[in-house]
Amino acid sequence: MADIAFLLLIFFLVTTTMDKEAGMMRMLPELETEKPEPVNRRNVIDVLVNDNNQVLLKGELVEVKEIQSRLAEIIINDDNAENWPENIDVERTELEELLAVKKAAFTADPSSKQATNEYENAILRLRAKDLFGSMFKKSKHVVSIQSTRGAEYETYVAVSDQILLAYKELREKAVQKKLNKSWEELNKEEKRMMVLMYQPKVSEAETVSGK
Amino acid sequence: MSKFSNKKKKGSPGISTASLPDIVFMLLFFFMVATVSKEEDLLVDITVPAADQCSTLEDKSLEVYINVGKPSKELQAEYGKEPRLQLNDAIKDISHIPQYIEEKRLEIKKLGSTDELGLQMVKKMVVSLKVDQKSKLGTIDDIKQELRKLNALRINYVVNDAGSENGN
Repeated sequence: MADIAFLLLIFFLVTTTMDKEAGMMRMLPELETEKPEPVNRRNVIDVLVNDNNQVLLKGELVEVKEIQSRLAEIIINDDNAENWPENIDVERTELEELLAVKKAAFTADPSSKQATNEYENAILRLRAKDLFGSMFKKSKHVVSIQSTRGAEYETYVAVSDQILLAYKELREKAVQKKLNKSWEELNKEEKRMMVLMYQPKVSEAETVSGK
Repeated sequence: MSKFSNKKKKGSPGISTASLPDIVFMLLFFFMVATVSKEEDLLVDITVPAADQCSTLEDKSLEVYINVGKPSKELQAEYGKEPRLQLNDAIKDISHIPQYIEEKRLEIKKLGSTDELGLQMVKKMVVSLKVDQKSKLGTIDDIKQELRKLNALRINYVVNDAGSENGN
């Protein structure tokens, strides 16, 4: 009897799962005490959602589903179009210097989580530079989502999702091209490296009043 | 000398405890099956939107919920049909957010063993917005503005994981 009870107990222990909630993390901008530094218009990719749940991507009316591929194109800006964001080449020495700074901070205080994290990131950046060469660029873009007050939350989330998918597309393409691997074949560290290479920069703007 | 001697003990025999474990287990199972871990009763109807690129939060204890949606049927007579906020177990207004966040901050601070650790945890607090997909962004924006004023900047939109893989 006790054996059966144990079996049952273990069965229930194994089969019950606590459902985890999924979510999208965002940082809200701080309340501005001073004027924000000016950004070049070309580097701002604004995504507008209106009351009728239509989406305007950098001045162009698009379907929600199209955002992913369009945005990926705009961010990478292969042809260096003038009104699309600029991508700056990064020199290896620059990354080496950064690594030296982060390493010093890490050795000074190895227990600090932040220092460790930044040190690891600096290593990964350098590795990405060695692997991807001229493909490793510093993009100055920022994606700014704005909406009218009457827009639906569902559309807003769908748009946010598409934006993140665009970054995923960029990462996967780069991995395919240079490493000839699929995303699933990468190990955890390589994935982290790719995320650093194409880091989502999304700004939560306030809603625009009126139509 | 008989093999089956009638050795009648005097008095009643003690109760056998051999089946005690079984009884305990049965009770255990009964309670395991019968208890539902307490989820916050939702007073508002919420269907969260689906999204592909999402992640899970590491630490549930640092999560603070703000639910937004239409009041459920029974409550519509009292609260109307417009989307409302639910903080803790009651339907509230946006003006109640500061008090709510402060309360939660105090609660989280107590989780830390020292004051300093507690304060660090408060900084990591995440406000989870569980919002019905048909809500208007105006409401959400008001909440976000309120949170900015309170310097609670880490937010999380609760979504329904539609993708098989978790994005980073």
